Amino acid sequence: MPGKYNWARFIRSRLFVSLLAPLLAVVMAFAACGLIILIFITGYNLDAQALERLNRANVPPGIIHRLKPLMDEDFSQKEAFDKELRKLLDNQEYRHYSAVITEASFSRENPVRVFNEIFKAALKDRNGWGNVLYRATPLILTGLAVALAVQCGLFNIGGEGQMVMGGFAIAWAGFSLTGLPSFLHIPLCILAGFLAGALWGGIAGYLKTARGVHEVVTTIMLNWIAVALTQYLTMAFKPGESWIPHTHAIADSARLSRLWVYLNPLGIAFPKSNLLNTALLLSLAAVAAVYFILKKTRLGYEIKAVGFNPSAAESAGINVARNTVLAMAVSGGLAGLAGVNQVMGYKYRFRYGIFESLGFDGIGVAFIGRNSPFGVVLAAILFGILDQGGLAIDVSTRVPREIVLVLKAFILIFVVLSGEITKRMMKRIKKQEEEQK
Amino acid sequence: MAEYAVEIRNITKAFPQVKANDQVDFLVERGEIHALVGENGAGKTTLVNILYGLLKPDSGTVAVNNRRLLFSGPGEAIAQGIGMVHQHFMLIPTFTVTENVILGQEPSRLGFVARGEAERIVGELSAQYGLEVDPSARVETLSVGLQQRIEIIKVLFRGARILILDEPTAVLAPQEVEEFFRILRSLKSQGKTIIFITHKLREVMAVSDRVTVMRRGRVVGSVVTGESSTDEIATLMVGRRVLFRVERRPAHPGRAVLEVSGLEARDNKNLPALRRVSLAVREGEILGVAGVEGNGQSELVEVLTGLRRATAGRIVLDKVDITNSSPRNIRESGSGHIPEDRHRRGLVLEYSLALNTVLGVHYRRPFIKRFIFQVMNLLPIKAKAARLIRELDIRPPDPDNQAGNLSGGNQQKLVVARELDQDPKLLIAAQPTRGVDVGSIELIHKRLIQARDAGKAVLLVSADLEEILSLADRIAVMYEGRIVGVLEPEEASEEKLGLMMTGGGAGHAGQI
Repeated sequence: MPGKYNWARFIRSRLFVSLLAPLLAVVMAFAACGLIILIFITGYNLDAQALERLNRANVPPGIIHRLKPLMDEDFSQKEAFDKELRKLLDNQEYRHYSAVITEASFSRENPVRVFNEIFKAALKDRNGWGNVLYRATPLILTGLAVALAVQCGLFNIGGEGQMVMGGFAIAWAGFSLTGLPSFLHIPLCILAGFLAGALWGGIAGYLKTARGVHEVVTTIMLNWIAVALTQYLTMAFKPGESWIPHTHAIADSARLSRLWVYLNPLGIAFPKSNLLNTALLLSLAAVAAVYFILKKTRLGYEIKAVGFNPSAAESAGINVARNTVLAMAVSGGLAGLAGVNQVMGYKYRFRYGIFESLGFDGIGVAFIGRNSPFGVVLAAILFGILDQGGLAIDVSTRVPREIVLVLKAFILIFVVLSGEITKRMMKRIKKQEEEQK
Repeated sequence: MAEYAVEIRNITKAFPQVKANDQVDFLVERGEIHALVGENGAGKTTLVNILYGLLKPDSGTVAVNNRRLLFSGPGEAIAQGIGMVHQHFMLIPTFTVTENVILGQEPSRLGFVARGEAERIVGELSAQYGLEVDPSARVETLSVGLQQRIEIIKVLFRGARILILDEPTAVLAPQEVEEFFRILRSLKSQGKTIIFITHKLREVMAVSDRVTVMRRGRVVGSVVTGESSTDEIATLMVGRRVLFRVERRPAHPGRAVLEVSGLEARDNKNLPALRRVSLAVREGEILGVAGVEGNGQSELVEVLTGLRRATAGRIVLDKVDITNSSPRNIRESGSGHIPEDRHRRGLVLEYSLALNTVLGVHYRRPFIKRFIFQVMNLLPIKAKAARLIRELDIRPPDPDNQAGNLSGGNQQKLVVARELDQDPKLLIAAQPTRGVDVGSIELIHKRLIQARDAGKAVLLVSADLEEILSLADRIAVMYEGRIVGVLEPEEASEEKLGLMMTGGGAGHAGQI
């Protein structure tokens, strides 16, 4: 019936499942991570509550008074806390009261507070948002690369290698071509990045079709070749006086503007330190392009046919080998574009450090985004929030920022799990409906 | 009264699509070689899997040596002395014969594998049954025939008294088959019971004591080999069903559209699958290719459609040489293809009906709108889908429905409609009505006849003799990769065809 909202129908819809599964996974991952924080992150802090406890335990006020210098100072190690106590108290007092004081000061980290800090740092103001989007920009591209390959039935683990190849090509085009106007230089750099990534992805595609080597194997190996090769090339193009392993800086004409340059005059205040730059627009354009290709064009039709059923595609006269190489090349090219943000928008030089693990994170992003172009954007923003917010918790909590890595890994595991759960749920609903008929 | 080694009574086993075993009785006497024959899909494998404990029947009983099995798993069957030699070997190539044989039941001494003792036992078994296998040879260095003997030693080593051999000769060369028969007789002479699954009648006659014939999940006969004939068994196997003749006018064949000469090809195991196949299909006729499955028909279709390489010979389609051309080129030259496995070859199940109706022609106008970006034009695609859905009464009639949601019959109608809609000069229809309901069968048959009457050349490959007899204007019979004869429908009877299909006939081999 038109207009009538039907819950059962919504629950069965693909949209619902594709939203529910990752959401469920994120919630479960936070819960699991919270448990880890609760169990493993402990410390000693003589705060007001601890003083209250000491009062109740009949510790003489003189001693409590002497502990004042320790007030609200945080110790993650018992030994360090103990050492301070020894300094403040004489031997007899120490022997009498140190155990009580230590016990009263013991506290655990509240995971809710930690997560709150992450989200607060990432989302509380425009600066946070901007940097989240800046971090999401390359992840959108590396995630998109994986998602596109999956549509063709390929598992491209080589985002990392394709990305650094693209990144280096961008830097190279940026510093070796000079005297060009920006409107030429920027597209040239972007093209160089795409082509270098496409070449790297295409090699894996060619090896699969011509030699039957599985792309997972070749892309993993090509990753390390690319990383080593670009590091070698970095040293070859290093400014002579520099003690940092990075290349020459790219020409001004190849640099992308930060977005605050455009937004501040419009009255949208952005701090000048904000890293968000116009590469974001390129990422979003790539999302739109991939969506368009997959959904509307002959190429997308053939790529998906090969992905779903290569035998049928072959039977229908679709060239499976050509589409495989093409899909790998485009996928690699997309990963290569991640360098636009890192080189042209951020460092203006090539250094592996600014890329490290963005390609691998793309696998997770595609996975959580269920290999759909728009899902990839959402997942990349989630990862951006975690990366950006993770920087803050080092300062404001006892939890090291590596917890973000744990969190990401948990999300991945739970995406698999919740995908299975929702699938079974769907099956059960379908079965019930059939029985009702 | 004879003593039964295996006594299977009233077994029924249904799978979602099909009743694989329907009230099957299967009795094997102790110490005999019992052949179990039937076409592919007749239920032989299901039956022995139940006997071996891999499947649980819906109803019925199995007794081995007069003890009823509880269907708890293969362990129970093995304990009763049943051993199974699978069609596909389960050997570790880098291990020696002995190591493979003892795998999982290594004789040990003080926690170490007693290699010397194991080798002695394997050597003794080999000598006892005339298997002539060197216990210390590495498996990868041995021929397929010898590897099969290792599988036999494996089950003997585990104390098997009843051996199940699943199509053991399929992988063997003719000389190896003779050797293999010698081994079977030697096993029998020393008191083993052998159940031998095959669909080659020559082998049945050569080695078995009794034959049980299955067809469509039922046992249709059990005879003593010596008192029977190839004729009788072939008739039982292929079945004498009421012919469902399709109404049709006589054919008016014209010039040859498809000409194949001296075609050879290899199968996936790199064994010869086609041996000097020559045939011609003329416009306005249906050439039926009959044969028991696995005799090269699938490979023939794949070579003709560009999906498999021909190693020799020539294929000419309407004066154009299309030998080893790409599937796209062959389609462009005017060939349509209804694949034998519609799920694997015919449809992209995840795509909608509409998108499936343009599979293979999706790059042509009007399905491509703008040429630079090659944007798919959904409107004509849906219009085409709607038209085909109407013409072939595909249900449910929703072009946006996923092809995977359709029933088998409707899926097949979709494929048939799509292939005929390209207006090909040649239509290759492989098993066009397999697994399809009666209504759809009738419709598809009508369509094939219509195509013929419209002057198209139709190559119909089918394992269903009834279908061949009711549709074909000429019938070519394939056996072991050869065309062993071409018959006019008038001179073809099911008995005669059945005999030729199983290698028993004296059909005139060769050219058409």
